[in-house]
Amino acid sequence: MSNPQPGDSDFVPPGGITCERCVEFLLDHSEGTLMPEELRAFEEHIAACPPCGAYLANYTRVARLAEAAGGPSPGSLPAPQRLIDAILRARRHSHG
Amino acid sequence: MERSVGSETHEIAGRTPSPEAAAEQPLVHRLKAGEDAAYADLVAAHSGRMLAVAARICPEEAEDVLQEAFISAFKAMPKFDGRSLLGTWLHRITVNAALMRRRSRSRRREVDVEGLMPRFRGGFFEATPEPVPEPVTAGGLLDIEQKKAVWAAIERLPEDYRTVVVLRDMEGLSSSAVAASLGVSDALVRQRLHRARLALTKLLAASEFAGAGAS
Repeated sequence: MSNPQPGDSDFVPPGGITCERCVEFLLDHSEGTLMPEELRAFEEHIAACPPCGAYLANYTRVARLAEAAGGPSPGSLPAPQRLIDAILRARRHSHG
Repeated sequence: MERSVGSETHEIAGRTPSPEAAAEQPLVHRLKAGEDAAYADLVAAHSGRMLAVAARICPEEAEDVLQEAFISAFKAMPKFDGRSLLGTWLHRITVNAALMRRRSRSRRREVDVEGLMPRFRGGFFEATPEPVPEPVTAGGLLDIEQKKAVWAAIERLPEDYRTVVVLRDMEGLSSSAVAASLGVSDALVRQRLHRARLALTKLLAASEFAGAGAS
């Protein structure tokens, strides 16, 4: 006998929440701002729902990839002096 | 990695300026007076960080972006109202200059974000989503092809969403700092970031990123 599925009268969603609700929790989960009760429901749902588990992995990876697609940390590249000189020259020219 | 510049926002008019803002006031007065040495100090103090920001968003033309950003800032200096620190103000100008430069370089095919949101039936997924590939990288760094693929996906987002991803995920600003920079609410920033990430899961799962050195 198979387990109850969404739409079945005896179906109880994992963690007591739908996948849609679980996806709504992703940002708060990534920032650690879920309330304890929400976190419990989220974790129970993720543990029992492969699609939401896959979605969580994707969501986390996307944030990491965007961060990694940047470059060195701001401030780590000193501007070359020739560039600084060119900027100041351009200002002087524009002010006659 | 979240860097907050929210504390750098300082009302000057009508409130007591923060120590940081107060410390900048002599320089701001010299700048508004058009003093060459003040501009030299400004460029020396901020060009390194601005160049790095430009390089994140527009790596091929970072130096051009830096020049454009400073020229914009010089023109706007008479209107600088002291609501933010000079560094915060220059950061916002640099991001705008870099995004404008990217826009002018390529005709992007913006996607309809709504069409990339997850689909549910009765509140539940019908199928397991396609995975976003996990890149095999040294020290968590992406190679240039992988960066280009991630950028290509980010560039397909509508501008409001793309800007939030750049500032939050790439620049590491807090939601409140992004909100202050864009003049919108924290809640809107978070909503856009969430929807942008949802859209990116589909764009990256379906993109050439899978073949760009990723496993």
